[in-house]
Amino acid sequence: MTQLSPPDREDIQGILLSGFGHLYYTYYLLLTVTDAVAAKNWLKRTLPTITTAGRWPQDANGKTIKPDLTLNLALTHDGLRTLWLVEKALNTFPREFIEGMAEPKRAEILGDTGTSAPSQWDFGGDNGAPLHLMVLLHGQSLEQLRTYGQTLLADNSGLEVVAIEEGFRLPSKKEHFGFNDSVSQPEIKDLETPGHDPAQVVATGEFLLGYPDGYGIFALTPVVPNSDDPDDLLPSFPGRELPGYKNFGHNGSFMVYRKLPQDVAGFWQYMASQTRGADGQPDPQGMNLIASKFVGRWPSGAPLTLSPDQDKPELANENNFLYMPTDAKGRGCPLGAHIRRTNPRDSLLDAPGQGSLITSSRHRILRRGSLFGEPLFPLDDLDQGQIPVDLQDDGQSRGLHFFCFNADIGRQFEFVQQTWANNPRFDGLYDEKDPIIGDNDDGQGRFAMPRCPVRQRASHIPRFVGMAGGGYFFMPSMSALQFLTT
Amino acid sequence: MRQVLDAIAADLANNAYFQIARSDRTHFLRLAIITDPDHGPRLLMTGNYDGSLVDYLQELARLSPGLDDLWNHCTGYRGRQDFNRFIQAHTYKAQASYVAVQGESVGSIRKRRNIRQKLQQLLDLDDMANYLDHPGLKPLLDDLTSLKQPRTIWQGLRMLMIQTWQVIEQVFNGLCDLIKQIMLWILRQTGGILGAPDQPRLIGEYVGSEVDYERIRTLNEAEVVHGTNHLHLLSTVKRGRLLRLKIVLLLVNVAGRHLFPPGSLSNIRSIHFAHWSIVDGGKHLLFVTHYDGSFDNYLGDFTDRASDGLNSVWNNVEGYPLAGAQDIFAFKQFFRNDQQLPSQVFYRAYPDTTVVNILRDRAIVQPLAEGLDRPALDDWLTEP
Repeated sequence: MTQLSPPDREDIQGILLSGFGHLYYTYYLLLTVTDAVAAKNWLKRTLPTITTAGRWPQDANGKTIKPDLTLNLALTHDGLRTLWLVEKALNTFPREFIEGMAEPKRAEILGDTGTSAPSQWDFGGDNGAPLHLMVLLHGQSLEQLRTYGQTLLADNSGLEVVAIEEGFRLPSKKEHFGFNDSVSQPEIKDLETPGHDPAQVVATGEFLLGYPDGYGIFALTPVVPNSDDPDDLLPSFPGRELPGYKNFGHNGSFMVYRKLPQDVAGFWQYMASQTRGADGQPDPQGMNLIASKFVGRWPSGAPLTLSPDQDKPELANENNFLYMPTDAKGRGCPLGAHIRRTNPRDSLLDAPGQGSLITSSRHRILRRGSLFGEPLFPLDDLDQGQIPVDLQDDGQSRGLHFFCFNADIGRQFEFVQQTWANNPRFDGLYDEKDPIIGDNDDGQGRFAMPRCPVRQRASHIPRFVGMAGGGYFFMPSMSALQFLTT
Repeated sequence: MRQVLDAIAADLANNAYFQIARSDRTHFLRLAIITDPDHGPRLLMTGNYDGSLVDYLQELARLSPGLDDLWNHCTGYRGRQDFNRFIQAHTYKAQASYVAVQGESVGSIRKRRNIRQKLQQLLDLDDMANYLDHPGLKPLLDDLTSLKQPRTIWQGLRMLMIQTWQVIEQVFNGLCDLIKQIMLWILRQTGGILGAPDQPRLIGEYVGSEVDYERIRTLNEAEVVHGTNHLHLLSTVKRGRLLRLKIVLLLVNVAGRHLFPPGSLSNIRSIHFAHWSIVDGGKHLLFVTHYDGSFDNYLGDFTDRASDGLNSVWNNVEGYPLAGAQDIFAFKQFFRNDQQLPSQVFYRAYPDTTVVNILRDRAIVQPLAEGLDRPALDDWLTEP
């Protein structure tokens, strides 16, 4: 088992290998460059404060000293161009990154349509200043982060704020609908810890450039000609296949950011409407069951495949399971449920079992994120069976700051979105989209739930998760940032 | 000709030239202008149809008020009465072909889909859904399915003979299956040898090169985000590799027609039709296919489940990645490079029905159809 070397860890930005689970607050600065020279100098000054993935130190008692504030940053293609990355290198990036998230065909692929179209976004869309740079801060309180964020740009940074986004995370790891949203993460091969499920292990090159990906080959990575790197800041390629180039992408990754507003009242009102009996009263247990069928996990995080009839908090963090042995037909977790679409594991009907696991492993993403907006109801109470039967909207915006990392945006993030989540005919289904994140703009979404004696089908599903802004970023390694600022 | 094709594409059912959308026999049809240095511009028509070619050409002529306006632009076309001869004279047969669901006509696919949709709507009716939800339903079904007809000694004897016959049938089925598995194993071994990468690589072939993304955008623009898409590819056969290519296609043809279950080409279930033809006197390989979903999904499936087979076909043509299909970016790029041909006209008889949908419709509707004897059903339903 190879492991990432300590120098590589020092070269990789910290958020790629850690979600900073001990820091509950986040602060994101979306920036545009107004003065390229000043911005470059600012970047150079800021380099030493960037949190790397280097091992955290230990105190005298052997206790790990965790950072109380972290800083990471990523750039868009526009940003790289503005900061004078050599033209030759700019053209070696993949198409999705060059075009950006708001390009019309991309928006169609991603389901960013209707009220979620790029013309409606708060930032990163058709209107407003172009996004060049994103700074991600994690800390212990919002006050700490606000103060830090202000001082960060105070001194002739050459940067202007397009948007500031604040976020937080809950100890229960819930999102706004009330579900545990942090269970399924791929295990990176070169960070593998003993005892983990081999089915969840994914090649390092699926998330970090400069390593073999799921096909055993380096994915497309940006390069610069040797002559453009006289100080030898960037690594060469191993072997003799590309002697004339340096790997600008090495130890970097592509970052997808999406601000996703959630219609929490709409979600639970829909569940109520599906379970109203003859007396007009909704059935809380029924609401919980259908909502959980939509997700594929119970509010605690317990997978329906392992516990089809009731929530089992002892299974809350269970991710070591397959569909085919006990749930091939989807009577526990329906075929179209959110988690079964976004990671079908062994259940793709083309090649159920091993073949499906290989395919699934080539379309994984590494998720990060935080919530925005106050919760509309006590989320933790869901686990005790307290279902919000009569939820009213308060007009406040709330949702998820969704982040993910991948080596190939087209083959990973966009593929999951287009071919799995939003595909009306995913895995043999007829006409339904992901019931949670699907682009059911017309309010005509459907969702089939196999069960005995007759299948049930939810209809008239509206869009529950919107899209309010974001972009495709590249998170360079420390050496690549050094190269950029030299 | 481009103007005529654009007019057809703009309204597939009501244009003044070729009303292809009114066809009862066409699964897919495409018209594309292709250009290469040896021949200049040519019109390529590819189609999948039911029945014989002669009957089909008659239908096409009948649907073409402006038949001459379209085909007069082609050298050698001598008017409506000559259409049949003209097309047949310029037709290429496929060296290898794959049809997902053999024996299904456009009519039967649509009919099954409509029946299945009706059944679904029926189940979704409020009253029906409530009734089906009724706790009493399951015991009723259990009772119904547990009922057995009392059996006489002769019926028992008959059952015994049927069972004996079934055992013999199973033995034969097992034998056939074994032969099939052996043939598949031999083919896979052959594919492994003929499809071995020319040069294994650690770093993708396209790393560091400037890709023509504008061309990809143009090709991608016409593809639907959800639904059936198509692809055709005209590649140049490498010098001295024609015979090898022909042998490989022969093997692919056997496998595609006889060795895989319906709707599955080497465990890929998103392909409606695939054809390989050697054209231009052995100079070019023409590949035509219709598939469900995105280009990335289609080629990803290819790599995940059929890379040896694909390598052994396309390593005989120019421009194929040295490391084969495992170099996934280069592999996709091979299909996107100047060999992929955009179509001017593309008609699909059932754009939102996937191969898997067709098979599921059959599985849902066929047992009902076979279990029902119309006169007996009428009697049963109408009696008091």
